[in-house]
Amino acid sequence: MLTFIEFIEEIAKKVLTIPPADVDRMREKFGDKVLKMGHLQEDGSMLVPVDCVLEAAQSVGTQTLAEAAEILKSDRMVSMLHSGETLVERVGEVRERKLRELIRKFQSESIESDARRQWKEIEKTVFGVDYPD
Amino acid sequence: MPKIDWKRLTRRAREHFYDRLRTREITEDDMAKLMDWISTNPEVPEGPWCKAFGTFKLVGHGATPGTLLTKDQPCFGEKI
Repeated sequence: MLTFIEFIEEIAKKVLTIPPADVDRMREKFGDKVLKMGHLQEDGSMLVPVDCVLEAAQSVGTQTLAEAAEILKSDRMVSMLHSGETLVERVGEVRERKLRELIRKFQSESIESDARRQWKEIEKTVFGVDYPD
Repeated sequence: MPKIDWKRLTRRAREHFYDRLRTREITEDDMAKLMDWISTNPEVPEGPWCKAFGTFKLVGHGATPGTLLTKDQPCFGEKI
């Protein structure tokens, strides 16, 4: 169980890191849709945007979220499998939707300096890299 | 088989992306496809390679991503 401070520290980060072993376990359970959640790193860990996780968690509801957490941290796969899968899918969907929103805003932006700032976000989202200016 | 190191994407290639996406020459759908592909941490050939995304193509050499081609420009390198 996280303390309140640990919880605040976690959600204050822009990305969560899923350890390699957890990524492997989730891919075994849910397949390659797990990859849509974020960017795989060289060591096999995955960086997942915190805002996408929070929005996905809010959208699945408390009951489903509790079940999803249970299935994600354990090997119990029977009746609760669907909840974990729903959360994984939802994170990927939110991530793609946020990219599309960023792109639409970028394409319709009339102020060039704002477009540059929006492009930085798109770069980070697509390539997983915060390039220097 | 190497995996692409996106930190090596040049400023010039990123500027191409910027210009073409801003003018809608590259579509939102194809950027989403690119993101999905990158998310799989794909393996690429050691030598030159080319990947088509509908409204654009991306070329590279081993782990180094190269530049963008328009959809009508011919690919060079191994198609992936």
